[in-house]
Amino acid sequence: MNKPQITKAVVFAYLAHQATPIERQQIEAWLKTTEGIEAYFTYLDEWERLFPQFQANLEEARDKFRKFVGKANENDIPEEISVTLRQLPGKQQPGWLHKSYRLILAASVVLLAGMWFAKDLWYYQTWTSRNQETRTIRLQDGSEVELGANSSLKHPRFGFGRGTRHVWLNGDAEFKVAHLANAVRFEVHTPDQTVIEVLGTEFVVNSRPKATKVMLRTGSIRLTNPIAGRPLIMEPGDLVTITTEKKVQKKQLGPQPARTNWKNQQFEFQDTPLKEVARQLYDTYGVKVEMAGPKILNRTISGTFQAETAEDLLEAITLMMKLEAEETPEGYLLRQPAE
Amino acid sequence: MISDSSPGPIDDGLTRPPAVSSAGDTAARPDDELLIRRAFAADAYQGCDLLFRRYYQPLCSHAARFVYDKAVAEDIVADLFQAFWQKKVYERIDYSYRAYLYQAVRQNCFLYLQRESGLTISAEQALYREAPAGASSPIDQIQFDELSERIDTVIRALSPSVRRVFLLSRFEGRRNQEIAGELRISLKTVEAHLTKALALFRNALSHE
Repeated sequence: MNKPQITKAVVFAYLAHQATPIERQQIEAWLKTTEGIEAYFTYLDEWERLFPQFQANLEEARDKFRKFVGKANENDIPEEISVTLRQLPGKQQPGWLHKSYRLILAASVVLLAGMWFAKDLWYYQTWTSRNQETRTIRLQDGSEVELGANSSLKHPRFGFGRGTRHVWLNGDAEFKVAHLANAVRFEVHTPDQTVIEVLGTEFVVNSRPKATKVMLRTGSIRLTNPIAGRPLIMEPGDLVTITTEKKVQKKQLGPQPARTNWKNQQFEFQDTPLKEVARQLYDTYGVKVEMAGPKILNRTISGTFQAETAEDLLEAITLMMKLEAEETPEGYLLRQPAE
Repeated sequence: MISDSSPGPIDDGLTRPPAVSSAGDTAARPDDELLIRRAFAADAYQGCDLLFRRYYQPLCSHAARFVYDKAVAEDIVADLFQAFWQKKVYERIDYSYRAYLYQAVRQNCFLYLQRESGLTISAEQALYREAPAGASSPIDQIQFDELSERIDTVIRALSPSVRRVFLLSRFEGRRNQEIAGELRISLKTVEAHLTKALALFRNALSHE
């Protein structure tokens, strides 16, 4: 006997009270099987997410539940690293250039030249995070930076906060820029020469070899990049993507943009090709994943994953997509299992 | 397969149901709750929290279809999670957590409606007092769907003004006085509308 095929569309119609009597009857029979009932709740869940009746306040309820369970909120005591900056030496008085100082001056010039070439070492403070590590940096001007995994942030060691505040980012970071009374600008520079210029605001920058992404939460940003002809003005909820293929794209994500993925080791995929998943794994964990054959490379995956290690994510993916992962000296190789 | 050599503390899970695009593959469903189950194995609270994050909102939305009240829906789901934790229900889940949670929410909504209206709905439905940990018999689910359909029909059939007052009161958390001011009608009218809506709503429950 040919069992009727209960598709997702039929279940959705049924849930919307629009199924035909025949479909209802088929669903009734289908619900008598374990497989059917599991699938039914999977579809119900999906349907409920597609057509929510209202948005319950998750964070508040989660907090209550945590208190009920009796767990302290781990987020209450974030790990913080304070950066102490030394003051610039006071201005020298004119007239100090006396003959007897010439030699000292010459020596100083040599020293200064040396220091100029090594200024990355002493002039800038550099913060680096390794794989699977995020860190919070508090800058002297009161701004906060949460550095994602495998990223680095550089800023001048001295006098940060006087005049334009420049920082250089390689990787991912979330900025909470303090607004200073004298309205000095804050500029984030990324390796692809994008400059993000702000006053006081919250935003996320994701700067990886292939693309730079900037997402703005509050405030406003002026973004310049050699590719973009003129500066882009961003509004809250905007996401700007600049790719190496010389493309600049602006997208409105809505007033409350989704959480940044690296911060909670969360990966969001929406019809994402495995090729891209592999790239993200490499960016976040430094794990190289290769695919056996172009067929696998182009298969896509959707869903939000939270994974502490690359292995966790890979395991979920291989299980879901029925693939096998083989450990290689460089990382992993994904392949279709032998029939 | 990846060797699972480090069973240390796990903080992973899925926050949305994943789906895999592979043409014509409807029978074999991916085990998308695998990581949550592993979290439970390491730390029960972690597991509960992952479930909470993933299912709290859709469950509230689902409950609202039965109780037609935002605050009540949220309470029912929050209570469900507290019982889930306290009675260690998570240790007795044979099927998916999802199937259990949705069934339990439906069950609790039903009990709530029954309590509120002071009515016994139908003999069959009244039988299911305790939500079992596993999948219950399929007949229930059909009945729950029918109940939600009945409620839906009743709310749709309300006159626009009555429906508006009813939804403002139950979903926007407005007080009667506020609704009266907003819609420029008297407080008495608001109260009359609400009484009427509630009467019809209860009627839907006593159907059969």
